[in-house]
Amino acid sequence: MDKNKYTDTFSQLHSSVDETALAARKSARKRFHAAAALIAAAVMLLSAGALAVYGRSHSLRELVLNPTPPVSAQTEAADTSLPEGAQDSAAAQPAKSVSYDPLPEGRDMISLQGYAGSPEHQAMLEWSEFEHGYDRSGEILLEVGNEPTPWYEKYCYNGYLVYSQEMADKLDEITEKYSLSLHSGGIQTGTVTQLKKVFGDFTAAERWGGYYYSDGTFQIDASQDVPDFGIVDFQLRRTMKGFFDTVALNINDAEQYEQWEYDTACGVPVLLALGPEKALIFADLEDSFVAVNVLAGQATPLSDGSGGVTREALEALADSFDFSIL
Amino acid sequence: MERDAFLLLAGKYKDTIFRVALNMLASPHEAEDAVQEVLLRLLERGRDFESEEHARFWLVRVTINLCKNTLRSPWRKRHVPLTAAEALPAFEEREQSELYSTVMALPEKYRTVLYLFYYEGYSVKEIAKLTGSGVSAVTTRLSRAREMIRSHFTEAEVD
Repeated sequence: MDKNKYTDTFSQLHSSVDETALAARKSARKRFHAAAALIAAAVMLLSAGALAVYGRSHSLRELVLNPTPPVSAQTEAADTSLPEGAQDSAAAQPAKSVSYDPLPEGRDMISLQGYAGSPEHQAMLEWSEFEHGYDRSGEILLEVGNEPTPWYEKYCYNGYLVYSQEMADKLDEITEKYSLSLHSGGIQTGTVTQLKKVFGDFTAAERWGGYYYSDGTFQIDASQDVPDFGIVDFQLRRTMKGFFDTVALNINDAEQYEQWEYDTACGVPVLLALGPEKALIFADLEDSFVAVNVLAGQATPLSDGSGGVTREALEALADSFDFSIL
Repeated sequence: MERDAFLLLAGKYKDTIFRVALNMLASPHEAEDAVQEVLLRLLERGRDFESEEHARFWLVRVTINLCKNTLRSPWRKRHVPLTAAEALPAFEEREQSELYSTVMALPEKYRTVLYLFYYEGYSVKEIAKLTGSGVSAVTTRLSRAREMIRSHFTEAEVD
């Protein structure tokens, strides 16, 4: 084929889109959003520990929510014996023996709801601290046992581990404080293909499955062949903004991760983090926060036995998602 | 992105975006929609590009992914017969109209690699990265596309 004929032909095709008008239209919208952002920023800065600034890059450290055990709890932690009268019950039901020791150093838990400063993250942080210091001896949980509780329908069925009125009150207090809604209506389960019918073609993965709430929050466990790399197993969770969600992820030591920002093929920038045993992708979207937990890292083989995750492989996996439709 | 930097890139590359989208979607109307969408994403982008080549690569990649989504859309599958009937662009020469019609009659996967290779000058490896395909698949598509165009014109001459 004659290259010159081809270029002469296609050079006659032009777009009629007016970029100046596009920029002007966007500026008008931006001015409105800027005013709203300023008000929101002022409110956030007044909140203790609010760190997020519009437009700046993020880091894994902004997701860490390790609770600090209260002074009384630290004292209690030394006493690991069960409360009086509870030993017999515990011996009969060993599964109820719950440990509430603080996390050892280097075991970081991260929020999957948003970066520090977002209402979803702040709410999760407060709940996490409350939960960590609450019923440290396990006395209340032992009393409740496995029987259905009055809180089951509203809270437990929707993923919140509530087993006392005090916990229910705290949950309601936090959601009211941050103007968040609880998940409701229970979960629906399905294969990855079924979930893609509901949420769009956001992943090239076809295998395995997941669950979702009616508000749009969902999670999948999936497996995908990344070209020139191998089979990658991962979990993807999308948490809708405006809802209170309590799912956290243990990433071991956040300081061990190499981190960088990356523009994905769909045009959405993401934060990538590559650690010894895990690799992570985070996308802070307009309506939701998406976290991808790759079940392998730099030093761990993939499920097909091939070598650890590389920067290129993580970028290729990030490119395979269409975050723009989530 | 700053307005001036946006206007510079948009002015320079909107035709590239349009042609990539046109080759993928075979509809000038949908290609214009794609240009608008890609330019909006450019405008919303928070950070600068490392170089102009980086910007061009990003724009083409975003366009390809956007068009892939459009092609997969169930809504489009139901409506495509109407949009496919859109008018042929006006070319300076009859020969160019024929070449355009021949190229656009090829399946999408051949049109796109042809355009990226012949017009934009990307290497096979770069096209593989842009389209999310393997290098061997791109090579095969280029070779088949060339063969199909050659056989079309040979048959036309015989007739």
